[in-house]
Order: sequence, then structure tokens, then C-alpha cells
Amino acid sequence: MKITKQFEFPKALLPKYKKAKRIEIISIAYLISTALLMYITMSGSQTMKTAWVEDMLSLIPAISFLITTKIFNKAPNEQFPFGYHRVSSIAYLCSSLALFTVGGLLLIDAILALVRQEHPTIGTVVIFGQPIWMGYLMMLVLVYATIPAIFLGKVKMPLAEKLHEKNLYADAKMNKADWMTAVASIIGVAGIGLGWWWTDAIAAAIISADILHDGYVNLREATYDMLDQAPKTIDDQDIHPIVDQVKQVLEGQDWVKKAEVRLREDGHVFFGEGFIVPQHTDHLLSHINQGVEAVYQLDWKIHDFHITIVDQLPEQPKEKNKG
Amino acid sequence: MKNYIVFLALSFLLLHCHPYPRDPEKTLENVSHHELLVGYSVNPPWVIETSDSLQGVEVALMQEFAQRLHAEIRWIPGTENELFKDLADRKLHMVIAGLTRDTPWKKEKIGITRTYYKTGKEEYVMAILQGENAFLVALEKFLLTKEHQIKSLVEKYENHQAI
Repeated sequence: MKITKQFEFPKALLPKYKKAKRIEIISIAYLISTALLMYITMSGSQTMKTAWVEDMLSLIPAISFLITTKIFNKAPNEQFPFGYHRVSSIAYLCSSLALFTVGGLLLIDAILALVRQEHPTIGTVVIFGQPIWMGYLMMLVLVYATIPAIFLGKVKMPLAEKLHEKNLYADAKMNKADWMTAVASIIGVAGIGLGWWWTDAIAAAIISADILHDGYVNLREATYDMLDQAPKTIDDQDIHPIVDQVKQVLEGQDWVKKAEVRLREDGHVFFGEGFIVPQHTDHLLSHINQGVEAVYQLDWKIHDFHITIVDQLPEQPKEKNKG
Repeated sequence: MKNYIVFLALSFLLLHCHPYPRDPEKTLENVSHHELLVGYSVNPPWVIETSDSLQGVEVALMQEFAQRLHAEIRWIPGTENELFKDLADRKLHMVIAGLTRDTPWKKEKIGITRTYYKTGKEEYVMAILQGENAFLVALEKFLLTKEHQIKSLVEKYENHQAI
């Protein structure tokens, strides 16, 4: 069995990778603290319940990133000749499925609260002998849930792009969802205090619809990943420019008549083949080796690349199915 | 970021201009200087009914609460089953029956107060209209001021029971 080489990130990116791990540990500690505070102050509010669940859910990408870092660095072996890269895709699939399911459940919950006209009942809590309306505490906790989340998301986003790390990217987007959720919840709770019982359920419905949407988008991407779709850029989900670059590098070789490439993503790295119709077959072996080397020079993400010599290329389907 | 802080500051300012929290159905306003509809179910020493009077810890508490609101109490007797249905249908303002925090009725469309008295494992609460938060806060603040007198009230009505 031909075993692929062990590698995950190039040396230059290692500090970024370490920073990402550090940020995720900070994130987890922070999210657990907000989840605890929310649980304590939840009382009768649907919004608070939704924000709490959203907060718990947003732990998943961070935790799955840290778990996968333990696995994807393992060396490929006889049993796993392609290595363990794809463990990130599995983690990504799981977290997006969790988002999708819970978003749906919460949306139903919020709509039921509206239909049944459940009026959130929020009383007082006694702190140092003083009775304080619980709604004030909820709003304070929610403010705590916004400001650090904004910064965490902003730090993670560029790291995710550099490392081509989808769990990290999903997590950065979750931080954005976190603080937007918290702002919507503040409005919901403030509305209860103004005597508008329905602001609570409506804020909860909006937040859960947003979770459901995020879940859907990520679930779709995760499924496409598992189906070996062409490599995509991490943010706008276009075909990754590397695909064209590889083809150009191959076609730029003087012994190549025509070339076509087929790449797939395995976690952070790409596997693939180039199919080449040669001008001639002189020095074929060394030409193939040079071609492969030239492709590896393009980008660290190209991890395992092979060249196959063919006598003709099949017609390429022109329509790109973007899905 | 700046906008967000301004938004937060403005909202907190706004909230302080008016009585807050408020009732969706203005229960606190409607009860003050008028009538407080209290459903009761006998459960000594909290609610005791004799041939000519209504007594007990929670009855005494309600009488003083009504006095503070300048309201008259209309007492409505019933089984817990009837009373909680009426409370969920918003025909009553409150229900007293020596309820504890683990009451199964809390799943109905009603609200319950924070624990106003604790003895052993039992945490005593009152049932109140769902979502009328100004009314709830007024009641809870009143009960908090009575915190230290409740134990002696309980002893008084337990002895009363023995006689």
C-alpha cells in the first residue's frame, strides 16, 4: 500500500496554528462562563433559553477543532493510507448537523410560545438583601455575551483563511451569531419589561431562524465536502483558484500538449491527479517528476499529487454545477 | 462598536424613565384602589377556614398586601383544580393554597413567586397571573419585607390549629 506523507501545516504557518489553538481554548472558557450565567438568570424567558442553547451549541466547533488537532497530526499508516486529514470534515458535518437540528427545534418552540400566548413571567432576585428585577440581570449577562464574542470572531476569521480550517471558520461565524443573538435577546428582554410579552418569543424566533439558516448552509457545505467536491475557498465558497493554477503550471511545461486536473479536499490539504497528453514521450519519467515538483511549489495545501499520462482527454463538462 | 455602546446606553436610559418592568395587562394598576381577586384552597396553617372567618399565614400576608395597594380582597374558594384553571383563564389575580415550588401546577399558564419561606425541603410560593411582571415584582418585594415575620406567623397558626 502506498502511504501518503505525514504533514498538516508548513513551518511558516505553525505559529498561526498554535495561536488558533490558544484562541479556541480562551473561547471555550468564555463560552462556558456565559452559558453558566445565562442558565442562572434564565427564569421564564424563551429568548434567554434560546440564547443559552445557542451559546452551548457554539462550543461544538471550538471543541471539535481542538479534538481534531489531536487526530489529524497522526501519521498515515497501512490502515489509513490517506492519513487522518478528513477527520476535520467529519467534525464539520457533526457540528453543522447539530446547528441545523437545534435551530429547527428552537424555532418550533418559539412559534408555539407565540401561538399559545405564553407570557414570560420574570420576578425578582435578592442580591445583598435588595430585590432586583431578574430582567436587568439577564440584560447584563447578555451584554457580557456580546463584546468579547465580537473580538474573538475577528481574530479567528483571518486565521481560518490562512490555515484553510473549516471548523475554525464555522466557529468564527458562530461568534458573530453569538453576539447578534445576544443583541436580539437584549431587545426581547427589554420588551418584556415594557409590557410587550411577545417581544420575547419573536426575538427567540428570529434567533432560531438564524441558527437554522447557518445550520443549513454549513450542513450543505459539509455534505459537499464528503462528496469530494472540487476545493473551495473558505469564505465565498468559489472553486479554489489553485485548481486553475495547477492546470496552468502543467500546461506551461514544454512537453505537455494538453492537461486537465482533478483535486479534492481532505481537511486542510488537497489530494489530486493531473491528466496529461504529452507532446512526445522522450524523457517521460523525469518530465513527470518535474511536473509534480512544479505543482508542489505552488502551494503548501497541495499535499499528494500524481500525474497520469493519457492519449486523449475526455470532453470537459462546461456547466459548473455550483449546487 | 461605538453605535452598539450608544444603543445600550440609550436603552438603559429609556428603561429608567418609566415604571419598569410593566404589566402587559396593567394588573397592578387595575388592582390598586380596587379589587384583588384571590383564589384560596384550605391548607393549614397557610389557609385556615372556620365557620365565621378565614385565617392563616398566607391569608394574613394577603390582607396586608391588599392594604398596601389600597385594595379590597374578594376571596374565591375552590379546589386547586378549579382555581388554577381560573388563574390560567385570567379570571383571578392570585391563588394561595400553601403551594410549594415543586407544585405540578407551575406547568399551567400561570406564574409563581420566588420562594418566600423555606422550612426543611419545602419552599413555599404563591401562584400569580402569568406574565404580569410589575404585579409580581410588587408582591415579591412585599413578601421580602415580611421575611423575618413569617416564622412567627407559621408558629402562631400552627398553635391555633392545635387549639
